Amino acid sequence: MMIDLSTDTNNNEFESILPLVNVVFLLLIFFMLAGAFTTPDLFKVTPPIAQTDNKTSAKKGIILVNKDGTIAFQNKTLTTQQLGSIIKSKQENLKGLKIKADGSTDSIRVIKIIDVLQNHGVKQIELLTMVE
Amino acid sequence: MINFETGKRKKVLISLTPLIDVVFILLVFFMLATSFTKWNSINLSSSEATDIVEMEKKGTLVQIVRTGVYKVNNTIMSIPQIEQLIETKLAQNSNHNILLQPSKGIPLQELVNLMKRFSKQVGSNISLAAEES
Repeated sequence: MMIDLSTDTNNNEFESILPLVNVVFLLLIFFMLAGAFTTPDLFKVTPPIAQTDNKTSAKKGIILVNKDGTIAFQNKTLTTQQLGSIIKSKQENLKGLKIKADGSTDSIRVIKIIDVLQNHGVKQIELLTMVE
Repeated sequence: MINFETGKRKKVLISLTPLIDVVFILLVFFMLATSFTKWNSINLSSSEATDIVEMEKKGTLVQIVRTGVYKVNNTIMSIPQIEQLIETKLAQNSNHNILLQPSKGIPLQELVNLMKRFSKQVGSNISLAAEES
């Protein structure tokens, strides 16, 4: 009896990594389609947790409010007055802005920011929350 | 002499290794750059009444003294008591408003929790006010 011990190693090696390549391709397509690109924030903010009916994205027109109340808008740290003057100068932003504030920020700080935005004519203000 | 190539073409084998490398790099990039965080939002529409006194006439002023301690009409009340009070007022006026006034140092999470809870009763008729300093 003869056993065929063919040594076509190149072909075998390629065939053995094919499932891996397939899985990697599938993962790539999944991440490309299911994920959303995010740009890193100026500082780390953990928004309050609340599930609401309003689904939104955290892409444009975001005002960041840090734990200690520091404000950042368009990748710049600002004071409340500076924020007001920027909002005033940029008419297109008056349509709607989103506040991404840390859950442990002082509420009064956030309310004061909302006041500033309203005083400068921002009609729609949204407070971003995270789903648990 | 002109070289007329005739016959069978040579089978060109393209190595897949660089392709796999690029795919791996793309995969790592997408894994790191994408986010799956689900964002929700609370609409903070501007209230017509900026004056707290005026607002109090239209609705209920809920003061958040500290986490878990709430005052309505200068009386400390629990959340179920406040909800009951709002229920009674809603029976009289369906457009009843709630004005939330947190004290200094109240975390935003506490305010959001209350807003979410009261929105079940009054919908979007919730306004915010900072404590007068």
